[in-house]
Amino acid sequence: MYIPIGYKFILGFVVVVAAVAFFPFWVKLLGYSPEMANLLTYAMAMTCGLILGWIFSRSFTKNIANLTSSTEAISQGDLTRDIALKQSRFPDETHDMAVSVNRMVESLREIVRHIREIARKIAESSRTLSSSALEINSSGEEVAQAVEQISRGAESQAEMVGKSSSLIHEMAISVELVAKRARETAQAARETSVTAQRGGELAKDSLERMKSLFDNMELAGQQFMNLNAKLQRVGKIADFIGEIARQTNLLALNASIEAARAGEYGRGFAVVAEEVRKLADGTGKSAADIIDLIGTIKEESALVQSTFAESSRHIHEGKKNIDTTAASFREIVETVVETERKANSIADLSNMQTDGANKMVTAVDEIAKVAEDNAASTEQVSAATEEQSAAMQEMVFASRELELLSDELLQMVQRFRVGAVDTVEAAEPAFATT
Amino acid sequence: MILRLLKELKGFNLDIYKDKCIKRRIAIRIRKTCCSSAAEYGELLMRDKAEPDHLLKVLTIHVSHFFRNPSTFQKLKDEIFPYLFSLCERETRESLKLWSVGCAGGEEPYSACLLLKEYFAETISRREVAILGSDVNPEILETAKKGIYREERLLEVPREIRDRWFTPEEGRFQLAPEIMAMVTFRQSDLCDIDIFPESDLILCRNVLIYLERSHQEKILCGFADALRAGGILVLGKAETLVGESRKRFRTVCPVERIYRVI
Repeated sequence: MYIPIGYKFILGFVVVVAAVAFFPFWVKLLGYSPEMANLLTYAMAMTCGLILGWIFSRSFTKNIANLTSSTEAISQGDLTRDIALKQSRFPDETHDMAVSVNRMVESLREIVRHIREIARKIAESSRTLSSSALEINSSGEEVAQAVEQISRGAESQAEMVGKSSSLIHEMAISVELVAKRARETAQAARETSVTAQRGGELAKDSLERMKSLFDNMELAGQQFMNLNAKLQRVGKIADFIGEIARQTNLLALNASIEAARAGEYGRGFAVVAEEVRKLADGTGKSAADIIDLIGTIKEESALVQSTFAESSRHIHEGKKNIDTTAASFREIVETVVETERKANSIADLSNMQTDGANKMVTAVDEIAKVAEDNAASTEQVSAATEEQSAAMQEMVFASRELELLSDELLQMVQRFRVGAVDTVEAAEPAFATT
Repeated sequence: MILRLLKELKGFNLDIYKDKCIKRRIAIRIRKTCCSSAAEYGELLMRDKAEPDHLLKVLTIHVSHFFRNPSTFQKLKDEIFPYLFSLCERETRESLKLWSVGCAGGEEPYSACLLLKEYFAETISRREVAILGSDVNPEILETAKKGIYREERLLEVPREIRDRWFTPEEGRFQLAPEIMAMVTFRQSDLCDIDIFPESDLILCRNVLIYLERSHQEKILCGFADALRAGGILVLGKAETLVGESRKRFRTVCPVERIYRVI
């Protein structure tokens, strides 16, 4: 039966008061003198009160002492024991208190266990955290190295691209020069072709003229031959005349002989014969002169003829030469036309080349841009890894701090002993303070 | 809008940085402050006095350690420094001027110092070497001036150099004052092309990657102007000369990104 302490006290008081009230009556029954009876009454009442008081107080002082020692132990960190009060038929507040203190101890135990567990877990997690941070850091370093490699590549790429760009630029310039020269060549070829054509025409003209000259020459030679033949005939006639003159001379001689025979009568005749002889002589002389002359002419005409032949040969050769020249001119024209065509095609090709070079320049510029973009990206990555590594360092520091804190926490709750678990934890390695 | 606010509040110009990168950085801060939108964050930025500083801190990235990319420092030691000293000798210059751009916690300029101290001790005792480190963030320069580093920043420092020039202090390492005295730090923005200091060697590694192309070009041309005749520029391994600036430099080593000004 539950009786609160206050009621117990009241009950005690009531009992003592009742005892004091009834004692004089009981004492009177004993038949002592009134003084004696009074004294006895006081003594009995006192004794009764003391006894009852001792009985009451003994149980709850004991309980309170028990509670005090327990709470003292709790404050010292001993959570191993529960308070065990003596079972009483009339439990009171001390029993309530014991129960609630026990509950408190239980929950404290629970909390301490929890805190220990958590602190341990925190320490573990922070260790994991710091090791993964270190791992990330090292992989970050690897990334950084790779980035450095890429960046190095980008750098040399940029350099190469720069070089190629200038080379292509130079090439483009020379190609343009080639195109210019080719155009000039084509122009020159065109001019040459015109000149050569004119040359060809002139040669043709010369040939025509030469031909007519040759023809004329031939005609002149023919005419000269005719003249020679006629001169021959003249020579023959002159011979004939000379013969006639000789005959006439003989006849005249005969006549003068006849005339001398005839004497005086023939004197006149002799004169005539003389005269005739003289004439025949003259004629013979003239005919001889003519023959001489014709001989000279013949000689000279032979010379002329040989000159004619020479000239004719020369002309023939000249004609051949001119023919060759004309052919050469034709060939020149042909070659020059071909040259012009080729030069033009070179110019066209170099134009195409210039186009190509320009395209190449744009492509190389594009490559340069890409290389530059690459370099920029690698920088970006590098910056990011740098940031990452800074963050990781912070993380390592923070996790170490966390570890230290959890350690501290653990040490703080280490003061509380909770029984069975203690031995388990004592067996675990102490938390490192690194 | 946030960029404009920052410019007004802190005089920090973000125009030259790559858009994506900045957006990412700002997004980190927006998430961290639990703002639902950029506009809300903008309001917070105006309301909260400390927020602009937080944001600035997140915006600039400081990843560095001593002798980062050892091959680059090897190249500096084997070729570039001897060349620069001989150049100084020839041109009868009084001092050799080094400029480390975006020096963050001072690892780069100090590494150069260590290199000089270790391998060119005799030369630098005869000739003055001025080393300047600059960064946009004044806070990080303060830490640079202190010269205290965690172990992971020293991983690539050769053992004997570490023993000689660093003293361990509560798990950290203090750089020798002798080395620290060689470097001067200055807060400066890369936008101010006109006030680039005259130099013989500019180390500008992994700074340009965060900047917009057009600004990269301007800054590189600015470097070309700031470098004395025959001066050397060293870029980060993923960086390269851009546009017009390509004509101002001749490549010395394409792998390590070392260029000589023309």
